[in-house]
Amino acid sequence: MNNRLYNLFFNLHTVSGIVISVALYIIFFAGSFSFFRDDIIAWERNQNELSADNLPAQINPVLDSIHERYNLNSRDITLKTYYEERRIAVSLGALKDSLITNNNPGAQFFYIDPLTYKQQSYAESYTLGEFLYRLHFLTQFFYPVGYYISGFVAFFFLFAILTGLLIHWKKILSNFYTFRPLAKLKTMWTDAHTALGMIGLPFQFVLAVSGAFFMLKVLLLTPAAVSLYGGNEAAVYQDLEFDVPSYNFENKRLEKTPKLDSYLLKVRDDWPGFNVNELVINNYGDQNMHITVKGHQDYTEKFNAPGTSVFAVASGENTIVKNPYSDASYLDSVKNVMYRLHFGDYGGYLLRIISFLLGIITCVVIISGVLIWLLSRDKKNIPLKKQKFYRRVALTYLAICLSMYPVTALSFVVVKLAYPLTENSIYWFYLITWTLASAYLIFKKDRGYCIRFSLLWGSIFGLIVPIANYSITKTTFWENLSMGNYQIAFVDVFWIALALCTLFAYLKVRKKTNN
Amino acid sequence: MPANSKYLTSSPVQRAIRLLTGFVGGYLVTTLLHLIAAAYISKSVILITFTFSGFIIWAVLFIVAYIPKKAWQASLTYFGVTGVLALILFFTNTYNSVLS
Repeated sequence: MNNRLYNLFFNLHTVSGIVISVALYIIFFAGSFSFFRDDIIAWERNQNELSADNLPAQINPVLDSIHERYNLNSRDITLKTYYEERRIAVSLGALKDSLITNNNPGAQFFYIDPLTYKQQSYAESYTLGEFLYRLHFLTQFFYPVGYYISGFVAFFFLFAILTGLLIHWKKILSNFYTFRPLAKLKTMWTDAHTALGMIGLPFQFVLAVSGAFFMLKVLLLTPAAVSLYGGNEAAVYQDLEFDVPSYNFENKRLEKTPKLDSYLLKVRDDWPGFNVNELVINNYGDQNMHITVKGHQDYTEKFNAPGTSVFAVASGENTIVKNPYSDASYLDSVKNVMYRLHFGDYGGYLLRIISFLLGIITCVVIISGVLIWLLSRDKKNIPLKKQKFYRRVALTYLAICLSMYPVTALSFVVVKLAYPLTENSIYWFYLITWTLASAYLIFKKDRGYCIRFSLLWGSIFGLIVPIANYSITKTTFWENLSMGNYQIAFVDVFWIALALCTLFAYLKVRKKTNN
Repeated sequence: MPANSKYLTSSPVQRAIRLLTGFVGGYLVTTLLHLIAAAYISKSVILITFTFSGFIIWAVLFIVAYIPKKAWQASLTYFGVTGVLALILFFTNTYNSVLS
């Protein structure tokens, strides 16, 4: 690579990196916590999952209780557990039979608890886990604009990864083994940036591509709809199997509405080790009632193994649309790989913890990148006015990014002590404390203080998290562990470990500044 | 060490042309390539591939747009290729619709 190209790519890497840095940091920080989304939610509600991400074995009592409230006859119903939560997500289509009278004839969406049959709307069941998960694709910022921003951040992150790879290509091996923590501050940040960037490279590449896939696929599929499908967008999503099954309503009652449990039982008997996590019922109680059971083979057995089985109730006919035991189609494999690699949810806690660490490593790469950017411009030959400007930018970036740690830890304490909080209170509490903390750190005008402040307060609040949990639930994490409430115990242990690590880091940097 | 500015253009017009070529031109070339492939091979297979290969190839073309010494060379190539690919797609579509 000649000098011109090297400098050109270097400049592209710097510019793309600095433009997306804050948004990317927010995405990765919130995203790292989102690997534990389900655990955080279980911990907040003090409600461990019952059957991983499967529907409960007995689905009839749940349906009966919904039937009492909404009259299911002639509706389309979807029951889903796409997360490892106790609650089941329920969506009901509008009543198709106009002769049925019900107070709520329209479409409905809510969650239902399979033990207490208590029903909750999306806003009522809002949690900090959900908030952090949503924050990682910027839902909170001018929805739906935030979605596209996060998508483009993912795309430019890919751009920055590729240009970064190009400029480090020649010295990629030697730089990886270089670490000079005792030399100048700037060389330390540079070494950390390249070495950690290298370690995280495959992870970051996969997350950038799959992240862009989630948020921006409409950008690619719309031209396809226009040119190949004659403008019919639904046809594209149907071809790519993103659609929901639908059948015509015949308006002839079935003599007897069947028990759903028997169908689930049959699928589970046919396919041992199959996880049922979606149940679609079309035209409940109608002659043309169809039951679609969806799920996948357990990840410990097979990675790409989606299964779909459809029952036509009146004729008793069973069609296997997808057999988890045969080879998955290319289409299903691509989709599954995208989701699994991005969510890191196919390999238990070990994989999630590794993913979390790689996410935090990426946060360090971003911060060190910003600091390199600043330190290479913080020189005497640069006009004072510009120097001041660069410093202010870097300080603002650092303040916004680093204050996320103590604010997140504090939010864990608050949502536990003040459970249950509404969507609005979680939203405003997090965003206001975050703004105040960032403003305070910007006002202090000291980068070192920024780092010490977030490490110290993050650690303190982090250590309070298990105490807050104990004070409300009167259960310690070892009691939860012995009761098999791994999700709840995990969050306590996780915060103790994380807070101790950052406390250690705090003591280290404090000593250094004292000397 | 910020990048040595003697290798970088200081003209905003030049910069805008490069950015537009890489971002828009890169997007158009990537999309058209995949759409043509989808029309000839298999819609669902190519389109689901497109959802990830699209972003990778787009990002690569974005970077490649900076390689030619002159900005107009890159623009001419990208938008020229876009024109040719668009014609191919148009005739493929017409041919396919006549067949069906």
